[in-house]
Amino acid sequence: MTARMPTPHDNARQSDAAPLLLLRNLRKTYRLRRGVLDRLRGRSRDVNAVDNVTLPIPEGVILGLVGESGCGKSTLARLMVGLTQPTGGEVVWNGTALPALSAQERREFRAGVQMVFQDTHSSLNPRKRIRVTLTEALAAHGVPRSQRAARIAGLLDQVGIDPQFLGRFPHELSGGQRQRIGIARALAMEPSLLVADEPVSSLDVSLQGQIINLLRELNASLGLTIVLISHDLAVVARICDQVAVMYGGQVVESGSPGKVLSAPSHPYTQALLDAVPRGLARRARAVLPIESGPTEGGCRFRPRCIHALAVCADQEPALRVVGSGHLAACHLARPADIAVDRVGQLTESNL
Amino acid sequence: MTDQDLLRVEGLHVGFRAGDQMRDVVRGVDLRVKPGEVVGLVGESGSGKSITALAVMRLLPPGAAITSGRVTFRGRDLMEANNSEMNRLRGGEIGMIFQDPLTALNPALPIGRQLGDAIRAHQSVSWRQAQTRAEELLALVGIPFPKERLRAYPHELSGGMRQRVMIALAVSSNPSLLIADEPTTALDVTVQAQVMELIDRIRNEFGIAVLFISHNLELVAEIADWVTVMYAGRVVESGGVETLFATPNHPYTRQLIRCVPRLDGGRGAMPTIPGLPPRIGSLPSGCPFAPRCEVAESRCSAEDPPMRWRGEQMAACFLAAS
Repeated sequence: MTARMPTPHDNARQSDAAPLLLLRNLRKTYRLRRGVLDRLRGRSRDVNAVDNVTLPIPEGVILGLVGESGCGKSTLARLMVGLTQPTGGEVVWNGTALPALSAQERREFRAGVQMVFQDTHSSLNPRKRIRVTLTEALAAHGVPRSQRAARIAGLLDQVGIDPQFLGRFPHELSGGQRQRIGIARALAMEPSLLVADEPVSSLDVSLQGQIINLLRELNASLGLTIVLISHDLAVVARICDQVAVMYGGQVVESGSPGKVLSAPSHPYTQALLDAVPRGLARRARAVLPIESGPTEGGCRFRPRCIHALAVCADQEPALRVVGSGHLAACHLARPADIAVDRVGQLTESNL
Repeated sequence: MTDQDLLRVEGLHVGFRAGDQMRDVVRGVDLRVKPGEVVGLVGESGSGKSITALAVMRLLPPGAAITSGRVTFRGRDLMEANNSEMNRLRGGEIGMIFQDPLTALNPALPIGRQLGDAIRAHQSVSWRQAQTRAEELLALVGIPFPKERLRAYPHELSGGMRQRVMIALAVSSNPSLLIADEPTTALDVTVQAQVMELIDRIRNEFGIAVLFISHNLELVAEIADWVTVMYAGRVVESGGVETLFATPNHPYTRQLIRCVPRLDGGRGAMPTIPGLPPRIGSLPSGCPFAPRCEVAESRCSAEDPPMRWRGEQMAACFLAAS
């Protein structure tokens, strides 16, 4: 660890080893231009899709990233895999910031971080047979021609696809099978991090579990680190080791699912949990107030928060330790369990 | 019983043309919706639930046709209704909302204009009266600043707001039946909760019957009075919402309920149903669910299962309790 000031994240880490991927003060700003006249006058408005996100992704974990659409979770995913360049902050891969990677390290990063997409129709080339799609991935990874057939057989076995599908086109496969091919293509690069953006939300309920279980098995058998972006809190609670909740481009709460999803400290996390439909248990759910526009200053969740105080309008809450490995950005979050935390270097300024 | 039913579907078969033959995707569906009742139609993609709804409205895509069966609305046989009668019914007595409000709304017209057109298509009122009514409707569905929003274009509204506009459009003609096909699937859970609350409120306030089509069991359990479960073009189970979900009598319903992820479900592997739903054109003989069923016997793949009744609850399974 360097000599910089300790941050809450140092305490949140599971181990002292450097995380596989570290997002540090990451920011992505998109410029909105309103129309031709505004453009001529040079008037524009900036939108912070990702706003000062610091998030360590330790090796070997399944990290769940949750939040409503527009909260920045997909932009964060694109930043993680290097598909989008950050406006500020940095992505640190195995201890080295992305711009500082050598050519060789950059190639390793490109292969080592892979993505699986929600829409299995648009993420596979419709005019290429499955065999071609997988062969191209292996070729890109430098697998010699002579070894490719054996590797393809191995990949299909890993994702549970019958080799008879190799000669088929994507449209001849079901959604679940296409998603397995998407995962196989990612695995062809022998990644250490897989970023899965809503991998099951377009699949039927009876098939979702199969894909989620596949990700779980890959995590267990290969030690593959997985970032699972999902709107389904129940799935995240079930398989993730860590959860980060995003709102308005920021991480507002993070920690183990046992803490974040069972005893949330942020009112937004609570509201998300309350909104989960529970008709089968004959339980009504709470309805969060209608979404409102962007806020100026203070806590972004304030207009929808039932607990908001005056301080919430004045001051933007910082992410701070509220329990062991549990962070929340809320003025009202209580720093419970602080005494039992590994808080050697925890200072007053963190609270 | 018949005259009590608002909508009645009997033995509906819908086929798609494949070469010179018809392949049935809906194979003998029975469905009843009573006035003011919410009927949930549950099934996975390809189960035929949406095609059933489109067949009821006579809005089947090209190449698809009703091959047999009867659809009656208020006792009127819709198979015999001509186009102008169907046009009066659609968006009149029967309102519709779909999964994607962005494609259902005209992107080039402000929503006040679209609501006004819809109102004037079914009621003889002036344009000004229609605009006043449109404003009332937007307020009714919980859209803030309704007067200002009349001038908004669909792209200027969020997904949840667009779905509210769709609901306003659907109820503008005081329908007695609302057909809602996956109305909240594209929405966040928080917005979904709001839209579900709105559908429930409108149903209670106006006594509108709802045919609620969804793959989401939690949502159906939340809103429906009666539930019909479809698999591979057939109704496999139907019953009152409480009994059907508490004591499912068909193995498919039972296995599907187990697959629904729950917050209190603990950790570890997710329950799944092995295999894939059958493809139209390569249906197994006997019970279509038999290849994936955890309790299937040899007769299940040999003969069509009978309908077994337990009180009002029906299950198409040899092994259902009766």
